[in-house]
Amino acid sequence: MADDDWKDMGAVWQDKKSDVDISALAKNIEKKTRLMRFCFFAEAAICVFGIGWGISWMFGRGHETAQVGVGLAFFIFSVVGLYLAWWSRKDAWHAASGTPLEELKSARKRAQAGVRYAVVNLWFITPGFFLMVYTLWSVWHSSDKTPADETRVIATAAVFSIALVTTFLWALWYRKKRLREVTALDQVIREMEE
Amino acid sequence: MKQKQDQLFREVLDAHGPMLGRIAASYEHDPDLRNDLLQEMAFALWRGLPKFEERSSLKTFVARIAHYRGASHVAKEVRQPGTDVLDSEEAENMPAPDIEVSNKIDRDKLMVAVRKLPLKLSQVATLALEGFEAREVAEALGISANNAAVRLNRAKDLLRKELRHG
Repeated sequence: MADDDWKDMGAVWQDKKSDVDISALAKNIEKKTRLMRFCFFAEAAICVFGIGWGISWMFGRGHETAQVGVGLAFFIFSVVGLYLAWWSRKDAWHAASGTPLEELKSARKRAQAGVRYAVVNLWFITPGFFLMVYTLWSVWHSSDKTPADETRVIATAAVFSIALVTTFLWALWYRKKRLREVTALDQVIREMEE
Repeated sequence: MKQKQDQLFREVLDAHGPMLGRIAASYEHDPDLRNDLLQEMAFALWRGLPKFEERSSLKTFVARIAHYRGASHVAKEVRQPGTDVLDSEEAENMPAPDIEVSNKIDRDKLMVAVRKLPLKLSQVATLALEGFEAREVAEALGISANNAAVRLNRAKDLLRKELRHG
C-alpha cells in the first residue's frame, strides 16, 4: 500500500503535458550549432588577419623599433584573441559524458580557470598600457615620421585605449561572475556529496 | 555522419523530449529560464549523443545529461538551496497525517513540491516519477544503488508530507 500513492504520483507526473515543441527545439539547436560555427570561424579569420598584419608591421617596414613594437602588440593580441575564440566556447562544446557530480566538478574547474584567466588579464593590462604609450610615443617622435604616421598613431592609440579599458572592465565583471559560480558550485557539490 | 547524428537527435527528442521538459521544469519555475535550460539540455544531448555507448539505456543517458545540465543551471543561476527547500527536520515536525494521499494529486502542486526538495533528493524523485527503477536512478546519477534507495525513500517521505500539508 505504501507505494500505491507513489504510483499515483508517477502517473500524474508523467501525465503532465509537456509544452515542449520538439520540432522547434530540434531546429533551434541546429540553427544554434550553425551560428556558433559561423561566429567561431569569423572570429578566427579576423584573428588570423590580425596575426598577418602584426607580422607585416614587424618585418615589412624597415624594422624600426616602434613599428616592431606595434606589430608585436597586434600579433600578441591576435594570438590571444584566437585562443580566446576557442577557449570561450569549449565549455559549451564540451560533451557531457560523466555522472552529474563529475560534470559539476569539471564545471567547477572551468569556473576556477575562468577566475585565473580574469586575474591574468588584469595583470597584463598595466604593462600593456605602458607598452602602448611607449610604442606610440616612439613613432610620434621618430625623425622620419610622415603625416600618415601621425594619423596612424592617433587611430592606434584610440583603438588600444578603448580595448584596454573594455578589457579591464570586462575582466573585473568576469572574475566576479566566475567567483560567484565557483561558490555556488561548491555548495551544490557539497550537497550532492553529503 | 552529421546527418545520422541529426536524425538520431530528432528521434531521441521525439521519444524523450517530454521527459526533458519535465526535468527542466523540476529545476526552474520561471518559463523563460526554463526554456533556456531546456535548450541547454537539448544542446548538451546533441553534443553527447555520439558518446552514447549503450552501457545504459538511452533513456538513462538522456536523464543523466538533463540532470547534469540542471545541476549546472542551479549553480549558474546562483540559486541558494535552502531558501524554499524542504528539509527532513522541517518535515519531521509536521503533524502526522491521518489520511492517505489521495489519487487526486494536483500536478502543479507535485511539481512545486519536487522543486522544494534538496537537489540530491529532487534528482532521484524526478527519475523515480519518470518510472526509473532504483538501479537505473543509480546509473543515471552515478551513485550506488543503496544510496539511490536511501535518497529515494527520503524523497518519497518528504514529498508525501509536503503534498499533505503544503
